[in-house]
Amino acid sequence: MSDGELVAGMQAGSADAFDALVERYRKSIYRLAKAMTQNHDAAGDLSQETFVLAYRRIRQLKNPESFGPWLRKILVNLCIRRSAKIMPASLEDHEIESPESPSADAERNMVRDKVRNAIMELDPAERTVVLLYYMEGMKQTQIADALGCPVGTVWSRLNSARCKLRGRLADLIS
Amino acid sequence: MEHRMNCSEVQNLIPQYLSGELDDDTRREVEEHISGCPDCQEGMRREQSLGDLIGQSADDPPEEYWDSYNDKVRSRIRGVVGMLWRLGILAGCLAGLIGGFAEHMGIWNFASSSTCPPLLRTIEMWCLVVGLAVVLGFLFKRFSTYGLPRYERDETSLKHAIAMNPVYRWTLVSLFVLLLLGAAVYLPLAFIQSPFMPGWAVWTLRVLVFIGFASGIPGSCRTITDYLDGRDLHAEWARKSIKQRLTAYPIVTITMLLLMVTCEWQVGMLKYVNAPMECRQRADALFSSGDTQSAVSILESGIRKYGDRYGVLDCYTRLGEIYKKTGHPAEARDTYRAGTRAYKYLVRHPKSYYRKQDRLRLLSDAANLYFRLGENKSAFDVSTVRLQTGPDDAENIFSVALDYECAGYKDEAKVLYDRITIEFPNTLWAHAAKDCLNAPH
Repeated sequence: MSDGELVAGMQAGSADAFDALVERYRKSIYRLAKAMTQNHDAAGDLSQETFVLAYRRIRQLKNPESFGPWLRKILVNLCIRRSAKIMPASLEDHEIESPESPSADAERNMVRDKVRNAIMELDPAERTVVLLYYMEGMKQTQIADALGCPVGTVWSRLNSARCKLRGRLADLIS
Repeated sequence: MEHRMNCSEVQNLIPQYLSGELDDDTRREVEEHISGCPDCQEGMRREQSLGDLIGQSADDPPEEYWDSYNDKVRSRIRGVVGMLWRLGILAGCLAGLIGGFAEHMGIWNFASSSTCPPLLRTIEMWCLVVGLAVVLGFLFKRFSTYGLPRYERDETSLKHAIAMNPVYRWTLVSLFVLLLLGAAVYLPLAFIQSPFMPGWAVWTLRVLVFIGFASGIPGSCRTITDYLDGRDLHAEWARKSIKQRLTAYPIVTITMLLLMVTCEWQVGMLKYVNAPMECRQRADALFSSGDTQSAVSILESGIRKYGDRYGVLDCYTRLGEIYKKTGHPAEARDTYRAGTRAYKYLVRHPKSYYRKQDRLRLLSDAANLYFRLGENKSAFDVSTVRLQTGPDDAENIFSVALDYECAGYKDEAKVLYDRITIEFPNTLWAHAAKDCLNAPH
């Protein structure tokens, strides 16, 4: 079933439709929340809250097919509002994702950490744009819509972030 | 002349090219340029590499994390209103229980002097308690999100704050405790007849509390109305929620209801049983202030009203005493005689809700009436019944022994004194019994 059909079902009052949408988007939303906060608890909390708000505002969604971007928009707004309350990354978070760390994974984890740190060092506005663009594969117009800013601003933030990241991750990129 | 893109322009467009955001003409132009430009090929490779790195930096929690995920989202949607409502009811019940026991212990008396019917009083009390709890919970919820944008004032924001911050959590717990204490303190204050609470304040509080109660109901019934209306998603979950409430908490609910009913019943019965005694106390106050006529009329009306209660003999005794003190021995004697008739009626029609101590008081009062009439044999018989009825403790036996002695049955009294010294040695009662045995008669 497409997003549009599920959203229509949800608007008509089907709990199964909402469950299916949660099922479909929860990993993606969690990942984005985790990337934005680097905190497992906060990511879980924010992602759940995103679905709660989506449920409450489902009637405001004019274009059912754009449920995904709309959901991310809610998450981004939540993250921005809550950013002051969210604690920084903790070491335990890293243990969650790789319970057993064989040596083959060690290098990959190191690369991941480096990329994450580079992203976290970005200015929050740039970080948001970078994550939406690269991690979520959103188009610049969708990001502009989600953030409520002109496309030009998205473009300039993206460019600026890209330059910084290329500098910080030069050894990995080359 | 056709414009050809240079490397700088192409490099700027590479991200959009990779994400498929370019129109056909521009895309074709970028492709052409890249195919012949090693620098731009390198730029594209780096852009792809950056995208891959960022994309791979995402991480997932363990699979079991998702097991309860959907349930968590649903329980959040059900919201805090239900939780507050449950807490409110719990607070109300506890406050009512505290109030009921305080009443029982005689710490405060609000139900006793009110003239409203008991049922109304009961309903009012519970509405007040529950309403107070709900309105406090409601205010707490509102103030806890005061100053936040409307977006943040959703019910979940409080839950979020509680989940995220132990300070909030303990603040909530403290406020809840304060709420309980407040309800317990507020009740005696608001419940009227309080000398430091003016009437208008009492009624203002009552109105406020009832408004709070009324406003709390719609919120708390949201799931039910959603279910009945079948409006939206809530319908399906409301069905589960109602089912859960009906099945998951029956023990708690039934226990609370039983406690509530028991408490109410106790309080009501106590008031019912003690009413003649209070009548006598009012008459005493009037008599000592010199208003004999009012004291007599209160006692007479008490005798008429409370003829079916054990405590009414108290009214007969006191009325007889007043007649005697005011120089009407014949009326006094008639009153005592009427009292003994009332005793005979009452002892034949025992009420199941009377406690043993009430029956003992009845027998003691009856013996007192017979003494006043000079009918020592009857007094002795009643005291004997009391001995058989009452607990086999030193106090009761000693009291009966004194009655025997007063009635002139010294041998029987001596037997009882001896029994106390043997069965309860080294107690105050044993010492008192020895003193009575040794005292010159």
